[in-house]
Amino acid sequence: MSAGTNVVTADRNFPKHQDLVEERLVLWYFVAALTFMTVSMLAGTLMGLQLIRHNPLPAIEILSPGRWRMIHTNAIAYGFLANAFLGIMHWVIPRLTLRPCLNRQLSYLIFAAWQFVVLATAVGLIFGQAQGLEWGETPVWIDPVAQLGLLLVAINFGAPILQTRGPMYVTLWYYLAALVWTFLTYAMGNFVPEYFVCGSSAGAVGGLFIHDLVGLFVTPLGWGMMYYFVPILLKRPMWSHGLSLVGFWGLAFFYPLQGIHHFLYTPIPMFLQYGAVLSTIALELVVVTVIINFVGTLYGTGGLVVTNLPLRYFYTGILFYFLTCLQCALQVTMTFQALIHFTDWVVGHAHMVMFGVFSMWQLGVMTYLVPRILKTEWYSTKWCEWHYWASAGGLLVMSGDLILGGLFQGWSWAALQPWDASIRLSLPFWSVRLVAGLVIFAAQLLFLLNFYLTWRNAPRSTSVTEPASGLATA
Amino acid sequence: MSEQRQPYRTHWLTWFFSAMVLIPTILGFANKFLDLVLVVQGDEDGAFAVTPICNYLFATAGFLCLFVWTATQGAFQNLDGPSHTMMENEKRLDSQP
Repeated sequence: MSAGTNVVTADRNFPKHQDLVEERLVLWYFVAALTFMTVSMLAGTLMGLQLIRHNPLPAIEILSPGRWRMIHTNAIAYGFLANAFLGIMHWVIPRLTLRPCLNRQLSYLIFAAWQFVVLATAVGLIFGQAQGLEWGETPVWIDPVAQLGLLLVAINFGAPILQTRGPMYVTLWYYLAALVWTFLTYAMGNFVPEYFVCGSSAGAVGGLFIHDLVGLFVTPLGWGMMYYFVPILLKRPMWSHGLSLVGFWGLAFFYPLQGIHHFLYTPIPMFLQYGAVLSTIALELVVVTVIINFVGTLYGTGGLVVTNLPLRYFYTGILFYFLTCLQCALQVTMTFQALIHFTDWVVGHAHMVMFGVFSMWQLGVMTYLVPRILKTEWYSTKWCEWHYWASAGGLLVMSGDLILGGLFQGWSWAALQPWDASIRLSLPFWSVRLVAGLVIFAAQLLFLLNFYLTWRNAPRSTSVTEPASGLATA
Repeated sequence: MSEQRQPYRTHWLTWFFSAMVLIPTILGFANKFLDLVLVVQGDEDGAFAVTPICNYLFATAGFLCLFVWTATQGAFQNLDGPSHTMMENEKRLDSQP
Protein backbone atom coordinates (compact mmCIF):
# COMPACT_ATOMS: atom_id res chain seq x y z
CA MET A 1 0.00 0.00 0.00
CA SER A 2 1.26 3.42 -0.87
CA ALA A 3 1.74 5.77 2.06
CA GLY A 4 0.02 8.44 0.07
CA THR A 5 -3.27 6.68 -0.14
CA ASN A 6 -4.07 7.96 3.35
CA VAL A 7 -5.54 4.65 4.48
CA VAL A 8 -4.54 4.01 8.07
CA THR A 9 -4.53 0.30 8.68
CA ALA A 10 -5.11 0.21 12.42
CA ASP A 11 -8.60 1.43 13.36
CA ARG A 12 -7.41 2.88 16.62
CA ASN A 13 -5.17 5.22 14.65
CA PHE A 14 -7.86 6.14 12.20
CA PRO A 15 -8.92 9.75 12.76
CA LYS A 16 -12.43 10.48 13.95
CA HIS A 17 -14.79 12.70 12.02
CA GLN A 18 -15.39 15.00 14.98
CA ASP A 19 -11.64 15.57 15.32
CA LEU A 20 -11.37 16.47 11.66
CA VAL A 21 -14.41 18.56 10.77
CA GLU A 22 -15.43 21.76 12.53
CA GLU A 23 -19.14 21.23 11.90
CA ARG A 24 -20.26 24.41 13.64
CA LEU A 25 -18.16 26.46 11.24
CA VAL A 26 -19.66 24.66 8.25
CA LEU A 27 -23.13 25.69 9.45
CA TRP A 28 -22.02 29.27 10.11
CA TYR A 29 -20.69 29.53 6.58
CA PHE A 30 -23.98 28.21 5.22
CA VAL A 31 -25.95 30.78 7.23
CA ALA A 32 -23.66 33.58 6.00
CA ALA A 33 -23.93 32.33 2.42
CA LEU A 34 -27.72 32.19 2.47
CA THR A 35 -27.91 35.62 4.12
CA PHE A 36 -25.81 37.20 1.39
CA MET A 37 -27.80 35.32 -1.23
CA THR A 38 -30.94 36.97 0.15
CA VAL A 39 -29.28 40.39 -0.08
CA SER A 40 -28.10 39.65 -3.60
CA MET A 41 -31.52 38.51 -4.76
CA LEU A 42 -33.16 41.54 -3.17
CA ALA A 43 -30.75 43.71 -5.14
CA GLY A 44 -31.47 41.71 -8.30
CA THR A 45 -35.20 42.18 -7.76
CA LEU A 46 -34.77 45.95 -7.38
CA MET A 47 -32.71 46.02 -10.57
CA GLY A 48 -35.37 43.95 -12.33
CA LEU A 49 -38.02 46.48 -11.23
CA GLN A 50 -35.87 49.31 -12.54
CA LEU A 51 -35.67 47.68 -15.97
CA ILE A 52 -39.46 47.62 -16.27
CA ARG A 53 -39.58 51.25 -15.09
CA HIS A 54 -40.90 50.56 -11.60
CA ASN A 55 -37.93 51.54 -9.47
CA PRO A 56 -39.28 51.57 -5.89
CA LEU A 57 -36.40 53.76 -4.65
CA PRO A 58 -36.15 56.66 -7.08
CA ALA A 59 -34.00 59.73 -6.44
CA ILE A 60 -31.99 58.15 -3.62
CA GLU A 61 -28.38 58.33 -4.74
CA ILE A 62 -26.95 55.64 -2.50
CA LEU A 63 -29.70 53.24 -3.54
CA SER A 64 -29.47 53.94 -7.26
CA PRO A 65 -29.88 50.92 -9.55
CA GLY A 66 -26.30 51.00 -10.79
CA ARG A 67 -25.06 50.46 -7.25
CA TRP A 68 -27.68 47.81 -6.49
CA ARG A 69 -26.53 45.93 -9.55
CA MET A 70 -22.99 45.75 -8.20
CA ILE A 71 -24.33 44.59 -4.83
CA HIS A 72 -26.18 41.84 -6.71
CA THR A 73 -23.11 40.50 -8.53
CA ASN A 74 -20.59 40.96 -5.71
CA ALA A 75 -22.85 39.52 -3.00
CA ILE A 76 -23.38 36.40 -5.10
CA ALA A 77 -19.69 35.94 -5.94
CA TYR A 78 -18.05 36.81 -2.64
CA GLY A 79 -20.98 36.54 -0.23
CA PHE A 80 -22.89 33.47 -1.36
CA LEU A 81 -20.59 31.37 -3.53
CA ALA A 82 -17.36 32.01 -1.60
CA ASN A 83 -18.97 31.47 1.82
CA ALA A 84 -20.70 28.27 0.73
CA PHE A 85 -17.51 26.96 -0.85
CA LEU A 86 -15.51 27.73 2.29
CA GLY A 87 -18.05 25.91 4.46
CA ILE A 88 -18.07 22.89 2.16
CA MET A 89 -14.27 22.83 2.06
CA HIS A 90 -14.25 22.66 5.86
CA TRP A 91 -16.14 19.38 5.46
CA VAL A 92 -14.47 17.90 2.39
CA ILE A 93 -10.75 18.62 2.82
CA PRO A 94 -10.33 17.17 6.34
CA ARG A 95 -12.29 14.05 5.42
CA LEU A 96 -10.29 13.51 2.23
CA THR A 97 -6.89 14.19 3.70
CA LEU A 98 -7.73 12.69 7.12
CA ARG A 99 -6.16 15.78 8.62
CA PRO A 100 -7.87 18.83 10.14
CA CYS A 101 -7.26 22.30 8.74
CA LEU A 102 -4.03 23.94 9.82
CA ASN A 103 -5.42 25.89 12.76
CA ARG A 104 -8.88 26.00 14.30
CA GLN A 105 -8.56 29.58 15.54
CA LEU A 106 -7.33 30.63 12.11
CA SER A 107 -10.44 29.04 10.59
CA TYR A 108 -12.68 31.18 12.78
CA LEU A 109 -10.57 34.26 12.12
CA ILE A 110 -10.92 33.72 8.37
CA PHE A 111 -14.67 33.35 8.76
CA ALA A 112 -14.93 36.67 10.59
CA ALA A 113 -12.49 38.41 8.24
CA TRP A 114 -14.33 37.22 5.15
CA GLN A 115 -17.67 38.52 6.44
CA PHE A 116 -15.97 41.85 7.12
CA VAL A 117 -14.59 41.93 3.56
CA VAL A 118 -18.00 41.23 2.02
CA LEU A 119 -19.84 43.70 4.25
CA ALA A 120 -17.21 46.40 3.70
CA THR A 121 -17.46 45.80 -0.05
CA ALA A 122 -21.22 46.27 0.09
CA VAL A 123 -20.90 49.49 2.09
CA GLY A 124 -18.17 50.76 -0.23
CA LEU A 125 -20.28 50.06 -3.32
CA ILE A 126 -23.37 51.73 -1.84
CA PHE A 127 -21.31 54.86 -1.13
CA GLY A 128 -19.89 54.99 -4.64
CA GLN A 129 -16.35 53.72 -4.10
CA ALA A 130 -16.50 51.05 -6.78
CA GLN A 131 -13.38 50.12 -8.70
CA GLY A 132 -13.91 50.29 -12.47
CA LEU A 133 -13.75 46.57 -13.17
CA GLU A 134 -16.63 44.17 -13.67
CA TRP A 135 -16.85 41.76 -10.70
CA GLY A 136 -13.78 43.48 -9.27
CA GLU A 137 -15.61 46.57 -8.03
CA THR A 138 -14.34 45.89 -4.52
CA PRO A 139 -13.16 49.30 -3.26
CA VAL A 140 -9.39 49.66 -3.55
CA TRP A 141 -8.91 49.97 0.21
CA ILE A 142 -10.47 46.54 0.72
CA ASP A 143 -8.36 44.81 -1.93
CA PRO A 144 -5.28 44.28 0.29
CA VAL A 145 -7.46 42.91 3.11
CA ALA A 146 -9.22 40.53 0.73
CA GLN A 147 -5.87 39.48 -0.73
CA LEU A 148 -4.54 38.74 2.75
CA GLY A 149 -7.72 36.80 3.53
CA LEU A 150 -7.22 34.65 0.41
CA LEU A 151 -3.63 33.99 1.44
CA LEU A 152 -4.79 32.81 4.87
CA VAL A 153 -7.42 30.60 3.23
CA ALA A 154 -4.74 29.05 1.00
CA ILE A 155 -2.47 28.39 3.98
CA ASN A 156 -5.22 26.99 6.20
CA PHE A 157 -6.59 24.58 3.59
CA GLY A 158 -3.35 24.03 1.70
CA ALA A 159 -1.52 22.62 4.73
CA PRO A 160 -3.53 19.38 5.07
CA ILE A 161 -3.55 18.87 1.29
CA LEU A 162 0.20 19.31 0.96
CA GLN A 163 0.80 16.89 3.83
CA THR A 164 -0.74 14.03 1.87
CA ARG A 165 1.71 11.67 0.22
CA GLY A 166 1.35 9.85 -3.07
CA PRO A 167 -1.46 10.08 -5.62
CA MET A 168 -4.15 12.57 -4.66
CA TYR A 169 -7.85 12.24 -5.31
CA VAL A 170 -9.02 14.58 -8.07
CA THR A 171 -11.02 16.76 -5.65
CA LEU A 172 -7.82 17.68 -3.84
CA TRP A 173 -6.21 18.59 -7.17
CA TYR A 174 -9.05 20.94 -7.96
CA TYR A 175 -9.02 22.44 -4.47
CA LEU A 176 -5.27 22.89 -4.32
CA ALA A 177 -5.24 24.58 -7.71
CA ALA A 178 -8.22 26.77 -6.82
CA LEU A 179 -6.46 28.04 -3.69
CA VAL A 180 -3.50 29.22 -5.76
CA TRP A 181 -5.49 30.38 -8.79
CA THR A 182 -7.98 32.43 -6.75
CA PHE A 183 -5.17 34.24 -4.97
CA LEU A 184 -3.39 35.02 -8.27
CA THR A 185 -6.58 35.88 -10.15
CA TYR A 186 -7.71 38.33 -7.49
CA ALA A 187 -4.31 40.00 -7.48
CA MET A 188 -4.22 40.19 -11.28
CA GLY A 189 -7.68 41.71 -11.63
CA ASN A 190 -7.65 44.11 -8.72
CA PHE A 191 -4.10 45.44 -8.83
CA VAL A 192 -2.75 45.15 -12.40
CA PRO A 193 -5.35 47.33 -14.20
CA GLU A 194 -5.55 49.72 -11.23
CA TYR A 195 -1.85 50.46 -10.86
CA PHE A 196 0.22 48.99 -13.72
CA VAL A 197 -1.50 48.97 -17.13
CA CYS A 198 -4.14 51.05 -18.87
CA GLY A 199 -6.21 51.23 -22.06
CA SER A 200 -6.73 48.10 -24.14
CA SER A 201 -4.12 46.21 -22.17
CA ALA A 202 -6.08 46.86 -18.98
CA GLY A 203 -9.20 45.72 -20.84
CA ALA A 204 -7.49 42.48 -21.79
CA VAL A 205 -6.45 41.88 -18.18
CA GLY A 206 -10.00 42.71 -17.07
CA GLY A 207 -11.31 40.09 -19.48
CA LEU A 208 -8.89 37.55 -18.08
CA PHE A 209 -9.99 38.45 -14.56
CA ILE A 210 -13.72 38.06 -15.18
CA HIS A 211 -13.23 34.79 -16.96
CA ASP A 212 -10.67 33.38 -14.54
CA LEU A 213 -12.89 34.25 -11.60
CA VAL A 214 -15.41 31.84 -13.08
CA GLY A 215 -12.92 29.33 -14.44
CA LEU A 216 -10.18 29.30 -11.84
CA PHE A 217 -12.13 30.13 -8.67
CA VAL A 218 -15.71 28.92 -9.02
CA THR A 219 -15.23 26.07 -11.51
CA PRO A 220 -12.46 24.10 -9.75
CA LEU A 221 -14.15 24.48 -6.37
CA GLY A 222 -17.46 23.39 -7.91
CA TRP A 223 -16.14 20.36 -9.78
CA GLY A 224 -13.91 19.40 -6.86
CA MET A 225 -17.05 19.34 -4.75
CA MET A 226 -18.93 17.23 -7.31
CA TYR A 227 -16.14 14.66 -7.60
CA TYR A 228 -16.44 14.21 -3.84
CA PHE A 229 -20.20 14.20 -3.23
CA VAL A 230 -21.50 12.36 -6.31
CA PRO A 231 -19.57 9.10 -5.66
CA ILE A 232 -20.56 9.25 -1.99
CA LEU A 233 -24.25 9.63 -2.75
CA LEU A 234 -24.11 6.94 -5.44
CA LYS A 235 -21.98 4.71 -3.18
CA ARG A 236 -19.64 3.90 -6.05
CA PRO A 237 -16.35 5.41 -7.23
CA MET A 238 -16.07 7.69 -10.26
CA TRP A 239 -16.34 5.83 -13.56
CA SER A 240 -12.75 6.81 -14.41
CA HIS A 241 -10.47 8.71 -12.08
CA GLY A 242 -7.93 8.97 -14.92
CA LEU A 243 -10.45 10.75 -17.11
CA SER A 244 -11.20 13.16 -14.27
CA LEU A 245 -7.49 14.05 -14.21
CA VAL A 246 -7.64 14.80 -17.94
CA GLY A 247 -10.45 17.22 -17.14
CA PHE A 248 -8.41 18.87 -14.44
CA TRP A 249 -5.25 19.35 -16.49
CA GLY A 250 -7.28 20.44 -19.50
CA LEU A 251 -8.85 23.16 -17.38
CA ALA A 252 -5.43 24.18 -16.10
CA PHE A 253 -3.88 24.61 -19.54
CA PHE A 254 -6.85 25.95 -21.50
CA TYR A 255 -8.73 28.27 -19.22
CA PRO A 256 -6.22 31.09 -18.85
CA LEU A 257 -6.20 31.55 -22.63
CA GLN A 258 -9.84 32.43 -22.88
CA GLY A 259 -10.46 35.70 -21.06
CA ILE A 260 -10.26 37.77 -24.21
CA HIS A 261 -13.42 36.14 -25.55
CA HIS A 262 -15.31 38.57 -23.31
CA PHE A 263 -13.91 41.40 -25.42
CA LEU A 264 -14.39 40.29 -29.00
CA TYR A 265 -14.72 43.13 -31.51
CA THR A 266 -12.63 45.47 -29.36
CA PRO A 267 -9.24 47.13 -30.06
CA ILE A 268 -7.49 44.12 -28.50
CA PRO A 269 -5.30 42.51 -31.24
CA MET A 270 -7.22 40.04 -33.37
CA PHE A 271 -4.70 37.22 -32.92
CA LEU A 272 -5.46 37.33 -29.20
CA GLN A 273 -9.20 37.31 -29.88
CA TYR A 274 -8.85 34.35 -32.26
CA GLY A 275 -6.64 32.53 -29.73
CA ALA A 276 -9.38 32.92 -27.12
CA VAL A 277 -12.03 31.71 -29.56
CA LEU A 278 -10.07 28.59 -30.51
CA SER A 279 -9.17 27.65 -26.96
CA THR A 280 -12.79 28.10 -25.86
CA ILE A 281 -13.97 25.70 -28.53
CA ALA A 282 -11.13 23.31 -27.63
CA LEU A 283 -12.17 23.41 -23.97
CA GLU A 284 -15.42 21.75 -24.99
CA LEU A 285 -13.42 18.53 -25.41
CA VAL A 286 -12.37 18.83 -21.80
CA VAL A 287 -15.98 19.44 -20.78
CA VAL A 288 -17.01 16.33 -22.71
CA THR A 289 -14.57 14.22 -20.68
CA VAL A 290 -16.12 15.49 -17.47
CA ILE A 291 -19.70 14.94 -18.62
CA ILE A 292 -18.89 11.41 -19.90
CA ASN A 293 -17.34 10.61 -16.54
CA PHE A 294 -20.34 11.74 -14.51
CA VAL A 295 -22.85 10.07 -16.82
CA GLY A 296 -20.71 6.90 -16.71
CA THR A 297 -20.72 7.04 -12.91
CA LEU A 298 -24.52 7.35 -12.86
CA TYR A 299 -25.00 4.62 -15.48
CA GLY A 300 -27.36 1.90 -14.25
CA THR A 301 -28.55 3.95 -11.28
CA GLY A 302 -30.27 6.81 -13.08
CA GLY A 303 -33.44 6.35 -11.06
CA LEU A 304 -31.66 7.75 -8.03
CA VAL A 305 -31.77 11.20 -9.59
CA VAL A 306 -35.53 11.06 -9.07
CA THR A 307 -35.52 9.82 -5.47
CA ASN A 308 -32.36 11.41 -4.09
CA LEU A 309 -32.82 15.19 -3.88
CA PRO A 310 -29.16 16.26 -3.41
CA LEU A 311 -28.21 14.04 -6.34
CA ARG A 312 -30.97 15.64 -8.40
CA TYR A 313 -29.50 19.05 -7.62
CA PHE A 314 -26.07 17.82 -8.73
CA TYR A 315 -27.15 16.32 -12.03
CA THR A 316 -29.40 19.29 -12.80
CA GLY A 317 -26.31 21.47 -12.36
CA ILE A 318 -24.29 19.13 -14.57
CA LEU A 319 -26.94 19.38 -17.28
CA PHE A 320 -26.92 23.19 -17.06
CA TYR A 321 -23.12 23.10 -17.14
CA PHE A 322 -23.17 21.17 -20.39
CA LEU A 323 -25.69 23.62 -21.84
CA THR A 324 -23.67 26.68 -20.81
CA CYS A 325 -20.46 25.22 -22.25
CA LEU A 326 -22.27 24.38 -25.47
CA GLN A 327 -23.45 27.99 -25.54
CA CYS A 328 -19.88 29.11 -24.95
CA ALA A 329 -18.59 27.21 -27.97
CA LEU A 330 -21.23 28.87 -30.14
CA GLN A 331 -21.26 32.37 -28.74
CA VAL A 332 -17.52 32.92 -28.95
CA THR A 333 -17.52 32.51 -32.73
CA MET A 334 -17.21 35.92 -34.35
CA THR A 335 -20.37 35.46 -36.43
CA PHE A 336 -22.51 34.57 -33.44
CA GLN A 337 -20.87 37.20 -31.28
CA ALA A 338 -21.79 39.92 -33.77
CA LEU A 339 -25.44 39.14 -33.05
CA ILE A 340 -25.42 38.71 -29.26
CA HIS A 341 -22.72 41.20 -28.21
CA PHE A 342 -24.00 43.42 -25.33
CA THR A 343 -27.44 41.74 -25.41
CA ASP A 344 -29.36 39.96 -22.65
CA TRP A 345 -28.20 36.63 -24.12
CA VAL A 346 -25.03 37.13 -22.09
CA VAL A 347 -27.03 37.90 -18.94
CA GLY A 348 -29.07 34.73 -19.43
CA HIS A 349 -25.89 32.75 -19.95
CA ALA A 350 -24.33 34.20 -16.80
CA HIS A 351 -27.39 33.35 -14.70
CA MET A 352 -27.41 29.81 -16.05
CA VAL A 353 -23.77 29.37 -15.02
CA MET A 354 -23.86 31.04 -11.64
CA PHE A 355 -27.25 29.91 -10.41
CA GLY A 356 -28.11 26.94 -12.62
CA VAL A 357 -24.78 25.24 -12.08
CA PHE A 358 -22.79 26.37 -9.06
CA SER A 359 -25.59 27.62 -6.81
CA MET A 360 -27.64 24.51 -7.53
CA TRP A 361 -24.67 22.34 -6.58
CA GLN A 362 -24.12 24.26 -3.37
CA LEU A 363 -27.80 24.16 -2.47
CA GLY A 364 -27.70 20.40 -3.11
CA VAL A 365 -24.73 20.02 -0.79
CA MET A 366 -26.53 22.08 1.88
CA THR A 367 -29.64 19.91 1.46
CA TYR A 368 -27.42 16.89 2.09
CA LEU A 369 -25.17 18.22 4.86
CA VAL A 370 -27.50 20.29 7.05
CA PRO A 371 -29.48 17.28 8.37
CA ARG A 372 -26.24 15.31 8.80
CA ILE A 373 -24.67 18.03 10.88
CA LEU A 374 -27.79 18.89 12.88
CA LYS A 375 -28.66 15.20 13.44
CA THR A 376 -32.25 15.69 12.47
CA GLU A 377 -34.38 15.48 9.36
CA TRP A 378 -35.39 18.60 7.49
CA TYR A 379 -38.31 20.38 9.17
CA SER A 380 -40.21 19.90 5.93
CA THR A 381 -39.02 17.61 3.14
CA LYS A 382 -41.89 18.92 1.02
CA TRP A 383 -40.42 22.43 1.30
CA CYS A 384 -37.09 21.01 0.15
CA GLU A 385 -38.82 19.63 -2.95
CA TRP A 386 -40.52 22.99 -3.54
CA HIS A 387 -37.16 24.68 -3.15
CA TYR A 388 -35.66 22.49 -5.84
CA TRP A 389 -38.49 22.80 -8.35
CA ALA A 390 -38.93 26.54 -7.91
CA SER A 391 -35.17 27.11 -8.18
CA ALA A 392 -34.66 24.90 -11.22
CA GLY A 393 -37.91 25.93 -12.93
CA GLY A 394 -37.42 29.63 -12.19
CA LEU A 395 -33.88 29.52 -13.51
CA LEU A 396 -34.93 27.67 -16.66
CA VAL A 397 -37.58 30.30 -17.39
CA MET A 398 -35.29 33.22 -16.51
CA SER A 399 -32.31 32.11 -18.57
CA GLY A 400 -34.45 30.94 -21.49
CA ASP A 401 -36.31 34.24 -21.47
CA LEU A 402 -33.12 36.33 -21.39
CA ILE A 403 -31.41 34.23 -24.07
CA LEU A 404 -34.40 34.61 -26.38
CA GLY A 405 -34.74 38.31 -25.56
CA GLY A 406 -31.06 38.76 -26.34
CA LEU A 407 -31.58 37.37 -29.83
CA PHE A 408 -34.41 39.82 -30.47
CA GLN A 409 -32.26 42.70 -29.19
CA GLY A 410 -29.41 41.63 -31.45
CA TRP A 411 -31.66 41.40 -34.50
CA SER A 412 -33.14 44.80 -33.66
CA TRP A 413 -29.69 46.39 -33.55
CA ALA A 414 -28.54 44.54 -36.65
CA ALA A 415 -31.55 45.97 -38.49
CA LEU A 416 -30.39 49.44 -37.41
CA GLN A 417 -33.66 50.15 -35.65
CA PRO A 418 -33.67 53.02 -33.13
CA TRP A 419 -32.45 52.19 -29.62
CA ASP A 420 -35.95 52.83 -28.24
CA ALA A 421 -37.29 50.02 -30.40
CA SER A 422 -35.00 47.48 -28.77
CA ILE A 423 -36.04 48.76 -25.33
CA ARG A 424 -39.72 48.40 -26.18
CA LEU A 425 -39.30 44.85 -27.44
CA SER A 426 -37.23 43.98 -24.34
CA LEU A 427 -39.88 45.02 -21.80
CA PRO A 428 -41.98 41.81 -22.04
CA PHE A 429 -38.81 39.73 -21.63
CA TRP A 430 -37.72 41.79 -18.64
CA SER A 431 -41.17 41.36 -17.09
CA VAL A 432 -40.98 37.59 -17.43
CA ARG A 433 -37.45 37.70 -16.01
CA LEU A 434 -38.72 39.59 -12.96
CA VAL A 435 -41.46 37.05 -12.31
CA ALA A 436 -39.01 34.15 -12.69
CA GLY A 437 -36.60 35.95 -10.37
CA LEU A 438 -39.32 36.39 -7.75
CA VAL A 439 -40.08 32.66 -7.91
CA ILE A 440 -36.39 31.86 -7.37
CA PHE A 441 -36.19 34.43 -4.55
CA ALA A 442 -39.27 32.98 -2.83
CA ALA A 443 -37.74 29.50 -3.06
CA GLN A 444 -34.57 30.65 -1.32
CA LEU A 445 -36.55 32.34 1.45
CA LEU A 446 -38.48 29.10 1.94
CA PHE A 447 -35.18 27.20 2.16
CA LEU A 448 -33.86 29.70 4.70
CA LEU A 449 -37.00 29.30 6.81
CA ASN A 450 -36.74 25.51 6.54
CA PHE A 451 -33.10 25.72 7.62
CA TYR A 452 -34.01 27.86 10.64
CA LEU A 453 -36.85 25.58 11.76
CA THR A 454 -34.67 22.48 11.27
CA TRP A 455 -31.91 24.01 13.37
CA ARG A 456 -34.44 24.95 16.07
CA ASN A 457 -35.63 21.34 16.19
CA ALA A 458 -32.11 19.91 16.30
CA PRO A 459 -30.86 18.15 19.44
CA ARG A 460 -28.51 20.25 21.58
CA SER A 461 -25.40 18.10 21.10
CA THR A 462 -24.04 17.91 17.58
CA SER A 463 -20.89 15.95 18.25
CA VAL A 464 -21.67 12.74 16.38
CA THR A 465 -22.47 12.53 12.68
CA GLU A 466 -25.18 10.28 11.33
CA PRO A 467 -24.52 8.71 7.94
CA ALA A 468 -27.23 10.27 5.79
CA SER A 469 -30.33 12.37 5.62
CA GLY A 470 -33.72 11.07 4.59
CA LEU A 471 -33.63 13.01 1.33
CA ALA A 472 -30.37 11.37 0.30
CA THR A 473 -31.49 7.77 0.27
CA ALA A 474 -29.67 5.64 -2.26
CA MET B 1 -3.39 -2.43 -1.60
CA SER B 2 -3.34 -4.56 -4.71
CA GLU B 3 -3.09 -2.49 -7.83
CA GLN B 4 -6.40 -2.62 -9.70
CA ARG B 5 -6.32 -3.09 -13.43
CA GLN B 6 -8.21 -0.40 -15.32
CA PRO B 7 -10.96 -1.47 -17.67
CA TYR B 8 -9.73 -1.29 -21.25
CA ARG B 9 -12.37 1.25 -22.34
CA THR B 10 -11.52 3.82 -19.66
CA HIS B 11 -7.82 3.34 -20.29
CA TRP B 12 -8.35 3.96 -24.01
CA LEU B 13 -10.58 6.96 -23.41
CA THR B 14 -8.09 8.52 -21.04
CA TRP B 15 -5.31 8.41 -23.62
CA PHE B 16 -7.62 9.52 -26.42
CA PHE B 17 -8.82 12.59 -24.57
CA SER B 18 -5.30 13.29 -23.30
CA ALA B 19 -4.16 13.52 -26.91
CA MET B 20 -7.18 15.61 -27.87
CA VAL B 21 -6.40 18.05 -25.08
CA LEU B 22 -2.62 18.13 -25.33
CA ILE B 23 -2.21 18.55 -29.09
CA PRO B 24 -4.26 21.77 -29.40
CA THR B 25 -2.76 23.03 -26.15
CA ILE B 26 0.76 22.66 -27.46
CA LEU B 27 -0.20 24.23 -30.79
CA GLY B 28 -1.94 27.10 -28.99
CA PHE B 29 1.03 27.64 -26.74
CA ALA B 30 3.44 27.68 -29.68
CA ASN B 31 1.21 30.16 -31.49
CA LYS B 32 1.10 32.47 -28.47
CA PHE B 33 4.83 32.24 -28.02
CA LEU B 34 5.41 33.15 -31.67
CA ASP B 35 3.17 36.18 -31.23
CA LEU B 36 5.16 37.23 -28.20
CA VAL B 37 8.39 36.99 -30.18
CA LEU B 38 6.89 39.19 -32.91
CA VAL B 39 5.80 41.74 -30.33
CA VAL B 40 9.23 41.85 -28.78
CA GLN B 41 10.72 42.35 -32.25
CA GLY B 42 8.83 45.60 -32.60
CA ASP B 43 5.40 44.96 -34.05
CA GLU B 44 3.69 48.01 -32.51
CA ASP B 45 0.18 46.77 -33.25
CA GLY B 46 0.75 43.84 -30.98
CA ALA B 47 2.16 45.80 -28.05
CA PHE B 48 -1.19 45.57 -26.29
CA ALA B 49 -0.71 41.84 -26.07
CA VAL B 50 2.38 41.76 -23.89
CA THR B 51 0.55 41.82 -20.56
CA PRO B 52 -2.00 39.05 -21.25
CA ILE B 53 0.63 36.88 -22.94
CA CYS B 54 2.99 37.30 -19.99
CA ASN B 55 0.09 36.40 -17.68
CA TYR B 56 -0.60 33.29 -19.69
CA LEU B 57 3.09 32.29 -19.83
CA PHE B 58 3.34 32.80 -16.09
CA ALA B 59 0.30 30.67 -15.40
CA THR B 60 1.30 27.97 -17.87
CA ALA B 61 4.79 27.74 -16.42
CA GLY B 62 3.21 27.17 -13.02
CA PHE B 63 0.96 24.43 -14.36
CA LEU B 64 3.87 22.81 -16.17
CA CYS B 65 5.95 22.71 -12.97
CA LEU B 66 2.98 21.28 -11.10
CA PHE B 67 2.41 18.69 -13.82
CA VAL B 68 6.07 17.58 -13.79
CA TRP B 69 6.08 17.45 -10.00
CA THR B 70 2.90 15.37 -10.06
CA ALA B 71 4.36 12.90 -12.52
CA THR B 72 7.47 12.49 -10.39
CA GLN B 73 5.24 11.80 -7.37
CA GLY B 74 3.74 8.81 -9.20
CA ALA B 75 0.25 10.27 -9.51
CA PHE B 76 -0.26 8.72 -12.93
CA GLN B 77 0.82 5.18 -12.07
CA ASN B 78 -2.35 3.86 -10.50
CA LEU B 79 -4.96 6.19 -11.93
CA ASP B 80 -8.04 4.77 -10.23
CA GLY B 81 -6.37 4.01 -6.90
CA PRO B 82 -7.20 7.31 -5.14
CA SER B 83 -10.85 6.96 -6.11
CA HIS B 84 -11.19 3.57 -4.37
CA THR B 85 -9.21 4.80 -1.37
CA MET B 86 -11.51 7.77 -0.97
CA MET B 87 -14.58 5.53 -0.90
CA GLU B 88 -12.93 3.22 1.61
CA ASN B 89 -11.97 6.10 3.91
CA GLU B 90 -15.47 7.58 3.74
CA LYS B 91 -16.93 4.26 4.75
CA ARG B 92 -14.60 4.02 7.72
CA LEU B 93 -15.27 7.59 8.83
CA ASP B 94 -19.03 7.03 8.73
CA SER B 95 -18.89 3.72 10.52
CA GLN B 96 -17.25 5.20 13.60
CA PRO B 97 -19.35 5.30 16.78
